[in-house]
Amino acid sequence: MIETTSAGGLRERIAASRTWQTLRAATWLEWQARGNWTNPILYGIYLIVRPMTTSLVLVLMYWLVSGAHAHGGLFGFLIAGAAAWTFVDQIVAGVPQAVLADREEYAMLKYVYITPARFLVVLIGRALPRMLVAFISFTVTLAFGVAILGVPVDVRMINYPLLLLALVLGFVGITALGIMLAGLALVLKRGAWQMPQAVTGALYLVSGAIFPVAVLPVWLRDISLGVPLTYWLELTRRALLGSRIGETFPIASTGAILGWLALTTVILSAVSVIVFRICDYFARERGQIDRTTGY
Amino acid sequence: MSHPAERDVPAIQTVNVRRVYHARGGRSIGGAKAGKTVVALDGVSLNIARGEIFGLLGRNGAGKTTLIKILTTLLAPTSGQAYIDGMDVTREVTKVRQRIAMVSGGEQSGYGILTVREQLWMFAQFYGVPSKIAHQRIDELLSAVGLGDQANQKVYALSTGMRQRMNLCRALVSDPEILFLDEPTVGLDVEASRSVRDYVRQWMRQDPRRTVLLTTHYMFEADELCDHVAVINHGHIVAEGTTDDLKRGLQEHARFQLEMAEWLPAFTEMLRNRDGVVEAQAEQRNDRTQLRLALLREEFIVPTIASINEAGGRVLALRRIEPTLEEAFVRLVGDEAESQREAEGAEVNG
Repeated sequence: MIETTSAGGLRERIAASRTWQTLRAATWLEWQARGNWTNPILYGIYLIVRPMTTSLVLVLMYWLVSGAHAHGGLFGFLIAGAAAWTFVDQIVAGVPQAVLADREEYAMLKYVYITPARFLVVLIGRALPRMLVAFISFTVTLAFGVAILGVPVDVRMINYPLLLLALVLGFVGITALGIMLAGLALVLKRGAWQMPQAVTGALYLVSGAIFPVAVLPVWLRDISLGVPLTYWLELTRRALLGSRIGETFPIASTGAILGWLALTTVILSAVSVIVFRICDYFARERGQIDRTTGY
Repeated sequence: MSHPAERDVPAIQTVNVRRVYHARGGRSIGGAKAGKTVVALDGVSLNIARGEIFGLLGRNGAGKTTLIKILTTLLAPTSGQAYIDGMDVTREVTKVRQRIAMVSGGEQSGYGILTVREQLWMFAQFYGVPSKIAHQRIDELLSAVGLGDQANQKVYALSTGMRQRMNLCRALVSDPEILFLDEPTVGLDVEASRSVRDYVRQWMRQDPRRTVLLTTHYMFEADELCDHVAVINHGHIVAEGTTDDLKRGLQEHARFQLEMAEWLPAFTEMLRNRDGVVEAQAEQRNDRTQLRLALLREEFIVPTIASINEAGGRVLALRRIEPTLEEAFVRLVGDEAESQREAEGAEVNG
C-alpha cells in the first residue's frame, strides 16, 4: 500500500483560484505545443524568419503589380496590415485548430472537457501564447519593413497609447472570434480543419489587410464596416504611420473609429460567447466532444 | 431530485436513461447509419452504492460507453435522469465534474509533447489542485504504478501499457470520488493489465468513499474486480447482481464432477434412474472414470454417492462445477446471430 496525500484533506485544500490555474496551465500547454517541436534557438530563428519571408512575398507581389513603382510610403500600408494580420492568423485560425488537435490527434479533448475547468478559460489560455508569437512576428515584420523597405515608421512618432488601445481591443475581438470558430469546429464533421482558414481568408479580403476598404465594391465595404478587424487595422496603421494613411478610409475621425472598434468588439464578444455555448450544447447533445472524424 | 447532502445517496444513479442517435443528411452518428435511428440506451436504471467497484458488461455496441459518456457529462441523455452523488449530470455539470474522472482504454491519448509529470500537473491545475500538492501526488501515483523513472520522459515515448498507467494517474491526480474506467485494459499485455487492476484495487482500499464504474469485455476482469455487475445488451440491463448471483442464477441444476476408481457401465444407468439425478455421464480416462452429474438440488449428492459406494464404486474426488461469469454472460446476451437480429430490430427507418 502506498502512502498518499490525505484524500479527505485534499479536496478542502483545493484552491478557489481554479480559473487562474486553468488559464496558466492552458497557456503553458499551448506554449509547449507552439515551441516544443524544436530547440529554443531554432524556434527563435523561425519566429524571426517566417514573418520576414511572408512580408517579402507580399511586397514582391505589390512591387510587380505596381510596375516596380512601389516605394516605402506604399509599403507602409501593406507592411503594417501584414504585421497586424499575424494576430488573426495565429488566434482566429489557431485556436479552433488547437481544439481539433486536442480531439483528433491527442485524443485529450474529452478529458479536458470533463474537468471542472471552464472551457472558455481554457480557450483563452490557448490563445495567449499565440498572441505572444504574433506580437513577435508583428514587431519583426515592422522592423524588417522599416530597415529594408523604407516603411516610414518613426519610433519617436508612434502614437503608443492608441497602438496599445488598438492592440488590446483587437486582441479581445480576435480571441472572441477564435472562440466562436472553436465552437463551430466542434460541431462540424467535415471541413472543421479548413473552416478557420476559410473564415480568416474571407476576413483578409474585407478587413483592409493589404488594400484599403475604400477600393472594395460598396456591398463588400458595408460588410467590412461591420467587422471590428477593419477598425482595428485602421487604428493600428494610424498609430504607427500617422493619420495620412487613413485618407482612403470611409471614416476620417480616429475617435469615431475607436468608438466603432469598441462597439463592434463588444457585440462580437457577446455573439461569440453565445455561439460558443450553443455549439457546446449541440456538441454534447450529438456526442461530438470525443468524436474522431478522421478528416 | 433534491440535493441530498446525506452520504447515503447512491454514488451513481440512473433513472430510465434513454439515448437515441439520429443520423441525418447522409451522415453516420453514434453507429447510426444515414437516415436511421439507433437506440443506444433504452430505459437504463441503475443504483451504484458508494464504495463499490461496479462492472458493466456487454459486447461492442451494447451501450456501455454511451452510459459512461452520459455520466461523465460528455453526452446528453435523450430522456431520463442520471445523478452523480445526487447531482444531476445535465444541470449541475461543474459539481459533477469536481467529483469524477475517467480513463478509457484502446486509445493512444496523451499530449506527446509533454513529459509525464507535466501532463499530470496540467490536469491537476484544471481541477484546482495547488501545485505543491499536485507534485507530491504525482510522485506518489507514478511510484505506485511503477512509472517513477518515466516522470520526465515525453509521453510520446511511452509504451501503450505505460501510457495507460499514466492515464490512470491523470485520472487520480485530482483525487476523484468516482472513477469511470471504460475498458481500461483493452490492448494491454498481461502484465500491464494486471498492474492496472492491482492499482485500482489498491486505490479503492485507501478510502471507502471511492466508487468505480468499470466497463469491460473481459469477464475474468469483472469477476476479479467487481462487487456487483450489470449486463447490458442492446441498451437494456438484462441482469444485475453480484458475480455469484449471476453465475448461480443461470444454473438450473447442481452440477458435480467425480473421479472414480472403480466403475461399471451399469452404474450410469443405475444413477440415471435415481430420484434427484437429472443427468449422469461417465467418461473413461486412463485407469479412472470421470463422472459428471446434474442433480435437481445440491443435497441429492450425499445419497447419490452412498448408492455408488453400495454398488461397488469408489469415489476418489468430488468437485462442484460452478459456471463461469463468461458462461453466464453468454447465456444472458444470447448468441451473436440472435443479437444481430435484435440489433436490426432496434434500428428504425428514420
